Amino acid sequence: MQVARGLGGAEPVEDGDTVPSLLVAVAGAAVEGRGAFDPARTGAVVIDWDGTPLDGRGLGPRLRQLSALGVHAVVAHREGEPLQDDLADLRPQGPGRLFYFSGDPAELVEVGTGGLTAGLPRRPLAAGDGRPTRVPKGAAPEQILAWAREWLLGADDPAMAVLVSAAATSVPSALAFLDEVATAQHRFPAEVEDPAWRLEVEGFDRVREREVESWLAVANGRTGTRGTLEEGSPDSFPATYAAGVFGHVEGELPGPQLVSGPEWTHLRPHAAGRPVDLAEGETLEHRRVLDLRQGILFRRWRQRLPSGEEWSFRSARFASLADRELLALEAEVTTDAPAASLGDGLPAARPDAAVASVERQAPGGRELVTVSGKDGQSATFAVSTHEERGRLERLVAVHRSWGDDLAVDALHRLGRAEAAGLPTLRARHRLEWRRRWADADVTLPGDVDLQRAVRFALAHLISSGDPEADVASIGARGLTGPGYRGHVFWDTEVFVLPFFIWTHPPTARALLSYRHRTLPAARAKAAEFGYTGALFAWESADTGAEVAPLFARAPDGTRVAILTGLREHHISADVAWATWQYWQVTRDEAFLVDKGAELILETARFWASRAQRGDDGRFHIDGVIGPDEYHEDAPDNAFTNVLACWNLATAAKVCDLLPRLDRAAWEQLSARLDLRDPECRWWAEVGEGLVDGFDDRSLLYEQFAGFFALEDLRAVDVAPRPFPADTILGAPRVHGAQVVKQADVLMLAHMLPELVPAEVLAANYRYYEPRTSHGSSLSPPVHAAVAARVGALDDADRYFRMAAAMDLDDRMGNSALGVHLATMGGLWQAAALGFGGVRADGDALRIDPQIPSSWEGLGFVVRWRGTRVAVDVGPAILQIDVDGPATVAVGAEPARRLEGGRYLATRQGTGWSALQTVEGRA
Amino acid sequence: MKTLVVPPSASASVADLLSGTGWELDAADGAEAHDVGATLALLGRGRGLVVVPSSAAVPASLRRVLVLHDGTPGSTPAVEAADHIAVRHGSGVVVVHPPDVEKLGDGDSLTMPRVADHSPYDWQEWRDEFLRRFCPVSSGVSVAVELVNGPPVEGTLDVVAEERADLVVAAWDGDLETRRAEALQALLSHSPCPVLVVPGGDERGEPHPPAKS
Repeated sequence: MQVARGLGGAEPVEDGDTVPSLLVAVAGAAVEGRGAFDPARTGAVVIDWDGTPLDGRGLGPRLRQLSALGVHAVVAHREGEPLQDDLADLRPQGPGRLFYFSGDPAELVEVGTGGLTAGLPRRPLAAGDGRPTRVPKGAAPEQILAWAREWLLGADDPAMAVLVSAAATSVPSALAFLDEVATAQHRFPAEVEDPAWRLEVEGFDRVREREVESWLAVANGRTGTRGTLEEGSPDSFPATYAAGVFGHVEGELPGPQLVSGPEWTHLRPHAAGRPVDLAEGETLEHRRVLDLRQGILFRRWRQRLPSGEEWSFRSARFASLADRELLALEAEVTTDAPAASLGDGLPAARPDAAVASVERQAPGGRELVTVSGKDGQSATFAVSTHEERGRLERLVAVHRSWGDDLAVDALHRLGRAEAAGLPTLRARHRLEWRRRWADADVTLPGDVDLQRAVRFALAHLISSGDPEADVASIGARGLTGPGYRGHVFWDTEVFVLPFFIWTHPPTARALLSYRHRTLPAARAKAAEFGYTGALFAWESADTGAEVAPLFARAPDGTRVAILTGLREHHISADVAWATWQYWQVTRDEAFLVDKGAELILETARFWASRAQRGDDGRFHIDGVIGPDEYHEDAPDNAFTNVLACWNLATAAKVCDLLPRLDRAAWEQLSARLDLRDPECRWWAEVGEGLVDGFDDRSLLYEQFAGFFALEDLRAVDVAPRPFPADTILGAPRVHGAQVVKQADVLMLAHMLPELVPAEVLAANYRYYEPRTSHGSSLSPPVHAAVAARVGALDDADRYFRMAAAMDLDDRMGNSALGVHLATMGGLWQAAALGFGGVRADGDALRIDPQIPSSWEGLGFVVRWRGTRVAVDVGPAILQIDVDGPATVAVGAEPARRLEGGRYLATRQGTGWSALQTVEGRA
Repeated sequence: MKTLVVPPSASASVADLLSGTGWELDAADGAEAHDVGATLALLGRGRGLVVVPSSAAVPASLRRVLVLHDGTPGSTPAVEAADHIAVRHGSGVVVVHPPDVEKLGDGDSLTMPRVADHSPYDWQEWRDEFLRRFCPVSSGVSVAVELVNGPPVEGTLDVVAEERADLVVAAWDGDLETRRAEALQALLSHSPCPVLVVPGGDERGEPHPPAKS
């Protein structure tokens, strides 16, 4: 056996390991035990090839097979000149990437699907997901292995990289080894082992099962499926939602709600002629793991059957992030009991008031279920199930329709998925998750529980967005449950969208496009209220028409009027704000010209008509609800007025900017909107004249006119927070008091930091923080972000943890009908924009981190105008890695143009030194 | 079959109403309506007690039954008793829940949502989830839940009056220190309708040893 020195994380293969003799070294953090090798966990293969002519012995086809299964390969050839025919045969054919390293010149190149047909490409490799694609010249194979492990897979990936010798005498063995790796990829997938990447639920608690189902939902922005047990239980609430497919329901809260599709994860486990479930016999083990790293829900279950035999079951399911129309379930059972089986078709549809019809067909051994909502949209689920020798594979293709032919398309997609096979689909899904995590992860070293909670939030955020379609936006509970019926609130633009703007702009663009698509409904709502421009729906579903209820039943049973759809107008400024944020961070000119400008101009037009000049000569906005919904008839709500003022000023900027970007498009747009110079000047006048409630002496914004005259009741003195003050104290009491539901003045400081200087922010934080009950899940993450900026780092830490625990520590089932995506988005904002101190500062990205003394560090990534910026903050060191040019400012330092590379700053008091370039990094 | 004590203070018509609801009636034991010690003793022996406070009118039928619920599995026996009665009499069941605000500390359970982002839905969700968790009833039995706002004792009495209840059912573990005990004692004294007290468990649903009287 060959034994190589461990190098850069590579573990030498030890005597006693059952591995092929040509396996030189393995590298993988998740390997159980030193040197242990599992071909099923092989994520990358480095082949140390001595140039021996392959003469068609099949290296190329094997590498293409591994590529299709998501396994990366590096062919390292350091001497001689290989045969052109051999080189021509090397090319990838799937999600797994193929690299070639030659001795002369010593350069690592990525091989495209065209192969190495015309000699080796000499161009530097594209930066891709920000990982370096070069290794040092003259690198030894072990160094290439370390590179593959660290950069191709990622340090915390559960897969391993292996180094294989393919010398003259060992080529046949190498090929056999590659076959073994390929075969192993078809086996049941492995769970990530790092506890910071696993949300694990042991046992079964019937009282909490429905919130567990929300936690364990698998989604991809197109569909979402709750984490219901495959066999179900009386306490289960199974559902699969297709984004944008609604049906109207009547009842106490009439309106559209997401339609629930078929229970595609349902199985009917049987043994010895009896159904098998948790209630029969003795449960020996029951564990569900949401693998946050891979986006896969795993389940392991061992049961002592009433007949005495043991039943061992495991399953894995995912909603593909790579192929968003696809869902997959694989399950295996081992038992001594006779006649064991897992499934015989999907169950009948459950009653759903939003569903108009359910059609079922069985073409060619498949199941085809079309669920049509009462609003005209439909979703077809084409399902194929294959069960053999205790293993079941189920693939589902979903197609949404607004009137076209569903069945043909869904069956076509299913056919393509069947041809690819579940292992390849799984590999594509895993690799897409890996790509997304490369930009989305927030690292909190040294605190596994907090790290897990943050990743739980980030995983649900990633799962909620669909960058490929604008037919739907992200509901406040995503696709994890029926809560809020799938309706879209300001939660999306203000809390969720920043995560996508800064980490995955294509998804942000799709979400803003949804708002643009609903502009006609927003214009109609404004007109209905007697205004011009666009007033977006407080609750939006498919068309963008207002779907907020007018009445609801309060917890005490009384029927109360719901005014949010009538008075919570800041939603229009929120949409404009998100649009401008997207422009600032991405500089996506095409979007600004095509859609963004219209969103900003039409919302500004609304505010200009909404504000009225008062007797004092100033402009006022009366009768609105701000974020603090405890006070429903607020005159001159500071948040609303300042946002409106900002919206008007930003529209003026757009009027100036757009002609310079694309004069023809501007002329077309302004003509279509009938927008003329006098109207733009009027906007400026209204904006400048709007009262904002700011007092120069106290530095306080008054939340709304008359707020300071209310009973000075501080929430912090009433009960431990968070608590629902309106329920605890009664609505009349909170209406007359300064108790605040959620960040309101502080919300404006969070959204528009450039307008609120540090001393003003501190004064308002000191005043409003103790008066806030946090009776909304949106409040804690914003307070964490604001407290971090103020320097109240203990407060910030407390609020950050409160936000992180919102769903996972919920004991009363507030999460039973879905997780709280806005809190999750707010958590990312608290990390990156709050503790990380990231914000757009003109043309510069400003980074001014402050972390609590109890934290070991904080790491995150943002995308700034096409450049990936990785930020790692420690108590004394700030490290910034950029993969391209970017203008960056640190602390209070002036902005500086950075090129690709690593830069460091050191802590100086409460600020940071100027950035220093770190030498020696490519 | 569990035994239900019907003391002399309760009229024979109450006994008639409760016959056939899963309880064996025992009219021989003479507990007083608001005698806590006797009540504890009876509950400790696994027996229920029906009380007709002096303020109460004896109903002609049991159309509406209220359940005093503390939001824990400890109240499950009361729900089960109400369910039996509802099946027998076709009654509607209203679960009344005074939340224990004093348990609002971090990490403690609060049997109502701490947060409500979009209230109309959160309230509905809370009701649905509360009923799913704690109030399984027989098919055909209608059940609703109402939260008591403000002071729990007065609020509970208000709800009982507003709902025009014919019977209140409560489960009690004998602990005198809980909010449930406080509300129950007020009901035993001031309820406008008869009160059925059945043995309950603690917050985890475990039987609680009777307190020393």
